[in-house]
Amino acid sequence: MPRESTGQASRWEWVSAGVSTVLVAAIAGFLIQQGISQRGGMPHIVVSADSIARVGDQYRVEFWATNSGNATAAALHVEGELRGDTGAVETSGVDIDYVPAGARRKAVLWFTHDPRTLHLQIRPTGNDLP
Amino acid sequence: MTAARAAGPAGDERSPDRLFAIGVARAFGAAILFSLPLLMTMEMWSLGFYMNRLRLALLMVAIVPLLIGVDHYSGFKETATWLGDAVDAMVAYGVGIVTSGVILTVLGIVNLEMPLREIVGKVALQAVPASFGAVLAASQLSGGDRAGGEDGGNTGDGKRSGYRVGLLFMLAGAVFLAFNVAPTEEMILIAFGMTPWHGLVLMALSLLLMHGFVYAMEFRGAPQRHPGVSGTALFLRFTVVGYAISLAVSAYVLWTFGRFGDEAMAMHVMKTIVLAFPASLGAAAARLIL
Repeated sequence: MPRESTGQASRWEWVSAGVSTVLVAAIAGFLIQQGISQRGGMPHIVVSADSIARVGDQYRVEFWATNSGNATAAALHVEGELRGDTGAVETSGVDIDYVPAGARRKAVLWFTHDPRTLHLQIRPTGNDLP
Repeated sequence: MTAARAAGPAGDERSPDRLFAIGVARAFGAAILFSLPLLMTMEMWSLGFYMNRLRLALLMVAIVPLLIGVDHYSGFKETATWLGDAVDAMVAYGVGIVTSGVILTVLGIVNLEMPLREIVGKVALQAVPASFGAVLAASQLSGGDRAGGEDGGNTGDGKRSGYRVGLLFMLAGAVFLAFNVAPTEEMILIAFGMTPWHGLVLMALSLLLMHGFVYAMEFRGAPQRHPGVSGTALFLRFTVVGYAISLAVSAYVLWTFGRFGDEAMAMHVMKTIVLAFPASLGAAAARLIL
């Protein structure tokens, strides 16, 4: 900061320096606490369908992938399966780049059959650990 | 600008508050300028939420002495106390945090629906290069229109010609360049594709280019050059030491980002050499620029 040869530094300098120091210390402390409490954590993914809509001649299923675990899931693959009386009718899959720990991501599956008339099961089938 | 104090339009002297506000504005500008490429790099966003929390905390704390050191020796400051430099460094850090938070929010990389862990991680990581830019602006760009500019300039030059100061600047330059390159996936892909011969040639090239910078630096500021200093001494004292600093910085940054996976030592070495290439050029250039 500019410092006059004879004048004092602005008191706002001290205020902002103090606030910054507290902020940095708080962030570092938060990170340390997170780091210690989440050692060796693994992602835990739960998928829940959100809405189903017909778009043209396709059906769009929106779902949330929620990671309640302590680590990030990368390249998460989610499979949706439509089952009827005769067995599996149709499957669709999607890859989600990242679902951070404690976060959720929304994604979409497309089907040619109406999911509302069949039994829909969406589940995560695998993920990478970044 | 002579030794007259900076004067406003009515002939009043600028108050410390106003000078501080101007300095902070400059710091924000420099923070954005220095960190914008990284702010728009997606690997930085995901590192923000998946990189090791403890290593990120260590990084946050480790740059504080570097900021203080750079603030002390850079620019045309009057000789200031270390406490004053610490104050400046923390203000720059605060500017870096705010800059990162604002830009990431405006770009939609951060929003309130995200968990706190994700927001804090992204902002904290981006604050590192941003605060770096801020601290350089605070001391460097404000030098032009300050009281005692000429005397302060000579004092600054005298202060800045020490060997340890040169090492500090090299360290700062290496850190900045390494940080800019390390997060990206391309860096690792380059290392994967190189043979040991590539590695050797790259090391030699790094040393050669560094020495070119160092040599030009020594000839630039004539008063600092001792007639008896040979190119070899220069090479050993600055170039080789600077390259060693760059290697150490590169290894630290790679470790921080978790880039040393379960691989053979040869691959760790290769990654370090690859990252040390831009880091060493940053180190050499920093002595010329700062």
